[in-house]
Amino acid sequence: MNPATVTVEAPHVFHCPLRWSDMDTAGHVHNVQHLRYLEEARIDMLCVLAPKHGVSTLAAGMVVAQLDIEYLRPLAYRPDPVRIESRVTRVGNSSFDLAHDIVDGEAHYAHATSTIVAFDVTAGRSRPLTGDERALLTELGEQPT
Amino acid sequence: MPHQYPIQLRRADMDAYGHVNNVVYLSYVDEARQDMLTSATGGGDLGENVVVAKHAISYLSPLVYRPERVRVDTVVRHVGDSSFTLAHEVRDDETSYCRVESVLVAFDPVAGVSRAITEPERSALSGLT
Repeated sequence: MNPATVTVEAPHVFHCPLRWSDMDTAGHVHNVQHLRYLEEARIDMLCVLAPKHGVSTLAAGMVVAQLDIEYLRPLAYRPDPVRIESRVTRVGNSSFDLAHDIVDGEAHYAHATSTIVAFDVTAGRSRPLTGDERALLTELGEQPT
Repeated sequence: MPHQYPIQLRRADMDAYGHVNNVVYLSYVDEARQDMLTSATGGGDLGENVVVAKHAISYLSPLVYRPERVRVDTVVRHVGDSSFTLAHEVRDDETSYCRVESVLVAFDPVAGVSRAITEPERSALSGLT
């Protein structure tokens, strides 16, 4: 998968390839598939980028509690990836919020926000975020200079 | 009285965490909405020619594959000029797994723009509050 790149647009950018079969009978990417793209970006942020910055504990037990998405422009399959720009908008005690935009050079296709809860999978309940996790998530909320 | 639509789960709906994947719930809702719009409007084209403007999804409880079906309960929250709001619940008798509130826009596929909701459609949707 493409590594995340930090750009002036957003703290986390993921280049997400589309699949032809993401399109439905209307010839546009089906509304369900956008959530798959956001999932890929979230996995890249938490399982690829975070460990590179020394935080490996965000790679498991992250549960999506809430996800809101607005569909702004239809997206058709093309070989070029879309860009998923993400940033952390809130760091709570055991949860954090993300904001995502699905964009390319031409258009803004969707905007989404989500709440992710850190879970202790063995105990079966939420757990507090660690100091290292909070620090990295806070960094991912800031525009890089 | 909500529209009720049974959903047969598939083992492959589950991901590596052993729960039905977040994205898959939306496909259950998609199917229930399709059924509701087609049957409520007496086979009219609202089932096919709508565009989703937004979803607000709350994941409440994990769902593990089992042969017994879940169901999607759907009510109409609001009917506007060309858009309407649906509230869905993926549930069984014991547990509510996921709630989705969606805004849909009626669409004219020929003109490629939104269209007004007709009076018969409005009346049919209003019966599902």
